[in-house]
Amino acid sequence: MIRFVLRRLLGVFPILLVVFTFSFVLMRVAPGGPFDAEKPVPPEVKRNLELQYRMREPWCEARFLPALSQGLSPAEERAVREGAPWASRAERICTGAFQYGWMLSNYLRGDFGPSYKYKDRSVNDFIRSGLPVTLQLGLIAVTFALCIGLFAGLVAAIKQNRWQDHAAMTAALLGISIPNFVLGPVLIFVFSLGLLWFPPARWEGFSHMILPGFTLGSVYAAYIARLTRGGMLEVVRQDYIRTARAKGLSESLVVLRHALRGGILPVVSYLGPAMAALFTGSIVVERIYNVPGMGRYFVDAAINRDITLAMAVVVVNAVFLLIANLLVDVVLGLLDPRVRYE
Amino acid sequence: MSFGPSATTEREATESEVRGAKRFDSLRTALESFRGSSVPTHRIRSHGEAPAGERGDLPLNRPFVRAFVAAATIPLLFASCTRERPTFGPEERRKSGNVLYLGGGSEPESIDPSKSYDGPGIDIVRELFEGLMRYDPETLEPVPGAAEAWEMDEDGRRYVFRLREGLVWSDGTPLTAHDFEWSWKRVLDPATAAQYAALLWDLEGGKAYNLGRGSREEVGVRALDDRTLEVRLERPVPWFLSLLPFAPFCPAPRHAVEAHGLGWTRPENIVTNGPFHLTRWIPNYEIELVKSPTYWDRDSVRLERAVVVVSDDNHSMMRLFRAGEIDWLGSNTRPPPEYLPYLRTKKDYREDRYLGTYFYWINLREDRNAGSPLRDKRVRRALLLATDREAIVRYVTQGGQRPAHGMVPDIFFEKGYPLPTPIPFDPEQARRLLAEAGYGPGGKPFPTIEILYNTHEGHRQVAEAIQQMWKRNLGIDVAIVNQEWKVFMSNRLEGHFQIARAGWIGDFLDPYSFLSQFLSESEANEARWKNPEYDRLVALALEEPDDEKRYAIYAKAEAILMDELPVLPIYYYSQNTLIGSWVKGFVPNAQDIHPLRSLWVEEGE
Repeated sequence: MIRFVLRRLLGVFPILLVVFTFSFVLMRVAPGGPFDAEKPVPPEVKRNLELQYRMREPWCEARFLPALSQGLSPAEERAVREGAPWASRAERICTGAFQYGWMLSNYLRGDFGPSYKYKDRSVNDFIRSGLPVTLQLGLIAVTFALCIGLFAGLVAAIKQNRWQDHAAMTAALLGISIPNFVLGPVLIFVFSLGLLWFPPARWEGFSHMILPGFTLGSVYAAYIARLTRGGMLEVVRQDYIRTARAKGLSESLVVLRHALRGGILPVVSYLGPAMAALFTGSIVVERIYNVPGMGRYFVDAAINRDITLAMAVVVVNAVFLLIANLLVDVVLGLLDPRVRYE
Repeated sequence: MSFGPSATTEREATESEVRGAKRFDSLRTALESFRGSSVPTHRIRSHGEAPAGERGDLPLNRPFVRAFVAAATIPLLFASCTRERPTFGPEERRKSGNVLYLGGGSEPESIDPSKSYDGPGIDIVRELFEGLMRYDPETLEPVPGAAEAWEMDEDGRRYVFRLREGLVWSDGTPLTAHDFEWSWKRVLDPATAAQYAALLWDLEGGKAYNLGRGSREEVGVRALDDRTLEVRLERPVPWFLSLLPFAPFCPAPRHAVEAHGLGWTRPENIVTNGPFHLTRWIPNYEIELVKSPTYWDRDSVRLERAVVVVSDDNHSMMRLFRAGEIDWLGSNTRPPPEYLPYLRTKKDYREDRYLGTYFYWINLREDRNAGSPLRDKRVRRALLLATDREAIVRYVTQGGQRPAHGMVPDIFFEKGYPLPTPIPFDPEQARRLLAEAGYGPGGKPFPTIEILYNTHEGHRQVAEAIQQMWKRNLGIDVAIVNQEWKVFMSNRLEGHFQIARAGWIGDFLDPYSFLSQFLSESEANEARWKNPEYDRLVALALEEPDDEKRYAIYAKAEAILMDELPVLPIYYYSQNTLIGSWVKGFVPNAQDIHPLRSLWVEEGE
């Protein structure tokens, strides 16, 4: 098993490199740059900025488009570029290559680089302050999802085709189909603005975590309920359950000790990707509840063309997803004797 | 180039940055405004509206879904339906203590005075750092800050400032004229890459140094001794003193910057000289300011603490206000437009004029849109005449905006700026002009034109209204296209548009802030409209120190602009906010600048 884990861990690096490269290229080819604003800065000032943030590389300019190094106005620069499309393309690729190398070398040193938008901060700052919060929120959401989902799924399976089953499955269907950007405001409206039970937003204590945790977890609770029900129904028809019953074990022991172990296997394998999805799901939830996590940067950083921050979020999420999947595989092996590590 | 970019639209940008969440909003607000809004929403819908997907809306955002959600929540509403409050937020303060809780808008990009460029960042810089001058909270005229006296030479090109005695940084280090000299040069240093550097280009040798052509020593700012600062300008700048409270002119603590590098603005490292000190800064969450014990005028600062709640989700801020978690929405958060008709009946809602103009650029670049009818100024005039701006502000924006008759906002009118010639809503004359230009019945068919705007509910509604007006009044087919902010800006700056939505917010109280963007050489002149007479008049105005006389020259220049119409002015901005009745000292002003040192909270017992 240790060899299996080590091998999987080694496999993480090439995957990360691909993710890194792919997101870099996407960020670079997106139209608009991090320093475009409605209130344009003079071209010379913008040039200073671009040099600082490696959006321009003097060496590449000198090599392919020497005219650029004088700090031309955007119109003049466009004219130069249109006059020499191939050189212009070469210059862009060359600059991109330099920037890629610069970022990659930063990453190797564990430094995500400076944020392009937030000029006082490095990307590491954002990850350091946001990641624990997002993890905490995710953990609460998973806990909610597991408690509610497993319970509802079990009840539904045990009382198959009775009203409890129908009620639980209808609730699950609703949970799956109501998106969290609808559920969130509705919950706030009812529980904080109407009933005054919970604060409407912010992240200060346990009472602040309940609504966002529930909002984020509800979809997963619903999936888990359905998966548990399905898994349980399949397992209770197996021979070993009949054996257990034949031994004269009590029904609760049969269900909790024998059936549940097999019944939740689909839930466990679902948890891996779900953990990562929780991460991205928090984009909306963090915004609605003003939670200082890092999920929001998935969208914000890309919109702002904050290249370093956007890439860091993607890479961190990829790491998270890979680890979660690895954990799931290990746990599956422990739960299910039929699974082998190879 | 004269003055560099002198106006700002950060708040527009901030607004646009929330568009990620925006598309879900109609649903959300349908729910939230339910409780009180019996007011019908005046939405002008057009026939030629693109299908949902193309507009960037979720298909979810359809009437039947809304109806479904509404039906599902109505029973809940009845449960929570209480007496209708006269206020949107709580009637009594829910928070306690001498602490102001306010909204801060989106995460500040930088609170380094030399680098700060965005609205939220500049607002924090103003509390932490104080320049030679500071703002009068009511008139925004410059009043003495770190300087206690100054002299200006006859020709308006040399100033000598005398600093107050005994100024110190928050760590006890003396604050001297040398700090100002270093900080101003730091803004101009190309290695700082300060976005506001162009504001200091008027210093002698400032531009050359910033462009890497001159030396640091030649820049026209010099500490004559610890308390005397000499400033030399390239040309007279009539509003120079009113620039001094602004972030790039504030001092940065050399010793802290050099000791901590990029991280010097972190609460544990920062050294400040303003009325407040930074004690907490959690990205996208909260900034905590505490009254500074070392500020020279600490006795007139009444707040003990201010907690700035950072969030770019206006709806989330509305809920926090409603629940009494914040006392004031802040000047970087605007109530979403759907709320306005409802809010107008509430006592804690404020609506004031704002120093900004909402308009459409018309692309006149030589290399684009060849043969476009928009090149004919009669056509442009016809379009403006066919735009019922009164109806737009009354039924579409609904937030106290005023129909625009020029680019210089109405706030200047009472300062002596001559009233522009009104441009009425006159479809009759518009049709005549269009016919004169050869279009319409019996003439050439008018090609479909395109209005480009950044994805945002408010801009969409205005564009749709105008689309409909032009169709109805002129028979012109208009396509409206929205784009994500950066794509939109890139297309605008590159000139890939026919008509594009824009907003311009003034940085300082001089019409130059609005008129400079139309100068032939200005980078901000997105229409690439060129008029030598206009350039001459604006340059002439700068020579005139007397406000009234200067305004008269500006007005002549603006008349040329309004005759040629490279832009279609639509409305003058307003500022809308929610503020608890217990927050005292709040005075509305043109730029929505509210230094916290003049605010306080009244404890109700």
